Amino acid sequence: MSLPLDPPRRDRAALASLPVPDLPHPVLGWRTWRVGRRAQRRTELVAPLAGVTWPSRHPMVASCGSARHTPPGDRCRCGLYAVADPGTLEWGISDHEVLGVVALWGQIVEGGRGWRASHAYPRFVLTGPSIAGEQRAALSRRYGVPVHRSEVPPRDLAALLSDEPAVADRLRHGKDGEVETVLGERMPVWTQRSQERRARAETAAGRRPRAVLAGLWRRG
Amino acid sequence: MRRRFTAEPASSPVPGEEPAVHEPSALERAATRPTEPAPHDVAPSTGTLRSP
Repeated sequence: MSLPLDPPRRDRAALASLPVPDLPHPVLGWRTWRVGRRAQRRTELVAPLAGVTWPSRHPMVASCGSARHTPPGDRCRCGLYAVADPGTLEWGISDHEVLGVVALWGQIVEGGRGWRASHAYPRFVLTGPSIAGEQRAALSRRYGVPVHRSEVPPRDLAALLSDEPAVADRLRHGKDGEVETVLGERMPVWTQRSQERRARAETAAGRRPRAVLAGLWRRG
Repeated sequence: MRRRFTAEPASSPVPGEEPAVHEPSALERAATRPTEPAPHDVAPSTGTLRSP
């Protein structure tokens, strides 16, 4: 009889052939979703570019039209995206876009800004003030993850987090309680900075037309 | 240059998802395998235990 610590030769070969993952935990990254405006889609997280609704309580599995590979392909852009720096995210024009952290696992390809993965699921979501509390609550119930309110629009919040990478990483890797703590601590500062940035942007936009007119007057 | 790797969480990142069925490894199977009775403890025809 073989001892437990000395498996038979055939079992050692079988053990050696089992795939061992490189990481025993998911990769966490930042990404955006869109939430629906219409009644049927108000509790859905939708990929902004692909328009695909993420399933609730099931992993999101990447798909690709090519039959030559399974996502993420090496020479293809398929896969589920997330980035390390939220300031590098691309945003649309909808005010119903939300920011969040996603867990990626399975096959993962790392690029310059982040990752493309075969499997993903939201870890938490940050919405702006334009999304009502009852919609946040419904999203949270549906996906089973925290959905936090930000006083700052998510696009502005992403830029502010990019300026504070240590805080952004605390949010990205933090447990639920820590995420709430960080948001509570930093939101007043972020709100003020966001308002200042918007005021500067509006002032700069207001100056340009007057400068053009002044130039025309001088030439005349 | 893109790096490819695998990540497999120990627990599912999906809330409420059933954990994957764990296939016991060869080491685990060997550790829980019942010991075979000694030949003299088992009657050859019926397989019942009898005291030596």
